[in-house]
Amino acid sequence: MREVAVRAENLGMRYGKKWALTHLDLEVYRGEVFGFLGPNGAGKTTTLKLFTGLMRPSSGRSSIFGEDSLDPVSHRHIGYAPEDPFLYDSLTPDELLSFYCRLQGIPEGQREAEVTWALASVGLTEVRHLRIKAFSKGMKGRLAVAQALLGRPPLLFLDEPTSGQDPLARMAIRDLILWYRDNGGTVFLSSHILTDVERVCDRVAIMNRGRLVRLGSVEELGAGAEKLTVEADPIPPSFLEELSRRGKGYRPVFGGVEVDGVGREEVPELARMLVERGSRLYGLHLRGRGLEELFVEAVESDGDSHAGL
Amino acid sequence: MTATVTLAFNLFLRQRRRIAFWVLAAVCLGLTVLPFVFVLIQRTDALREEGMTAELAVSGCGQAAVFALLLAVGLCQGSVSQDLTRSTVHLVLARPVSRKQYMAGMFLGSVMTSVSLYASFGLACFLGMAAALREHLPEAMLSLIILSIPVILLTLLVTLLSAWMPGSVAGIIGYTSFVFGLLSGALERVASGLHPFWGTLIRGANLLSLRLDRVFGMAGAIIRGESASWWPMAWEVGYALVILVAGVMLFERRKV
Repeated sequence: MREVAVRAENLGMRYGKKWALTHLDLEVYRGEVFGFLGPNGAGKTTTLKLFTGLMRPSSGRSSIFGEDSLDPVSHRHIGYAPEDPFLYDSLTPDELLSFYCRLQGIPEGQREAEVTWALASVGLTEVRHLRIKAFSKGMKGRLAVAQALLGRPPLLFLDEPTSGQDPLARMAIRDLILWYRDNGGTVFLSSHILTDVERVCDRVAIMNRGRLVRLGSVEELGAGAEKLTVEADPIPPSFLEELSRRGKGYRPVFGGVEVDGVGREEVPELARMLVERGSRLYGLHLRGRGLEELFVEAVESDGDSHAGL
Repeated sequence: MTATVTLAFNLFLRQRRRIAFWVLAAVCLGLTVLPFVFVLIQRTDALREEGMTAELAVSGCGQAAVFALLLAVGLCQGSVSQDLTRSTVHLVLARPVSRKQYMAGMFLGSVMTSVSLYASFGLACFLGMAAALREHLPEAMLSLIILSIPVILLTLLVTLLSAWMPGSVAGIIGYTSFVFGLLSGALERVASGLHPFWGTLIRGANLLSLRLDRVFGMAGAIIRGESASWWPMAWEVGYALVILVAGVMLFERRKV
């Protein structure tokens, strides 16, 4: 049985009369990268604040490795990098991370090594003695990730860690997340950049208007719904009739046709049909639905067509 | 305890990095000490003949405290409110740090900031007196220590306020408390002279006042060699403890 790193039980949060989060039941397991998605106002940041003990829930409870997340003791297990972090900009990264090391309870003899490792992990070693006020948004974002790594907590909460980063930094953060998971860590990743989520997450949850609307692996959520792009000339009408007879939707695209709902095992037969009908086949590209399509579908089916991506 | 001290030193370090800290400190040091030392050098013999040396010592100690009080409000009004508005508090409270420890750390850091300034002003005054006015030195030393209590009290009050309102509003209330605290006794006398109702009203209001005038009066009486009641100091210490405990307990329920 897998160890639960984060658990939410009927978790809810109300601001005045409006519920920002309702009846969230969720389990995140040790050793997985968990993607947490949703349009603006879906309740992602509220959920993160509840998990990190920054707010008291209006209903339910949440726990970190079995300890109530409101108990500061449970915070020994977590590292948290918020979106748009505000850091003490009169300090240098060295001073800032040393300060957080002390708060984290890291012994004095290990602090220097820990700070050096965290800064190296996000590529900020060379600027460790500069004041943070001179940093760009991207550098501050990476420094926020570095402070979350201090003490190598078993659970990381990362809120939009790749937002505002250049492609190389984004790639480095993605690699860092995967390295963390491979070394037994758990990462709870909230992000709007769905390609990043798709690349690193083992499971995803999609939130909308304070409710959990989808939960599962990317494969599970998109199973059996693949698209086949056929590049051929000509596309015989009898081939299209056969597709209709089999209940497949299709649409013409440049140089061929795109067919919906094609299973992997059907591809050789479709290729054979085309060739038998005298068509010259140039290419067949099978792909699953992307996370972006899943996301839009989940949000729209929940009654909101204005996903704030 | 360790987290509280860490937070306090961090706040103290950040305050010292502010240019305003050094500019205000330099200006106040110049305004406090230079005129005092100038008078000490130029007029000590004449004042000694007139029997006014105690008044000179009283004014020196009083100036040091008044300028430290002014600076304490200005520097500490944003200590917690900035952490809240900039969300820097999130990265602190997401660590194994309780809200009580956080607020205690902010109180301690603010007190360290204001007391360090006051200590520099007081030390300068003390050294001036050690050079030219030795007859009042022990009493002046005691008075300077007593006058640190109002500095700490006002610092705690402003820090508490900054946890619940914007820094600018906390500053305005702090300065109002400072002025009303210095004038509370005089206001009470004037109001009582006008009508018993107003006298009662001001006396009631003074229950919340910092009563800085009484501590300043006590410090002056000690330098002059007069008998002084220790009640004003006990009031100040009690007030400071109430603010400290209330601030720490209330922050437990604060939304961040």
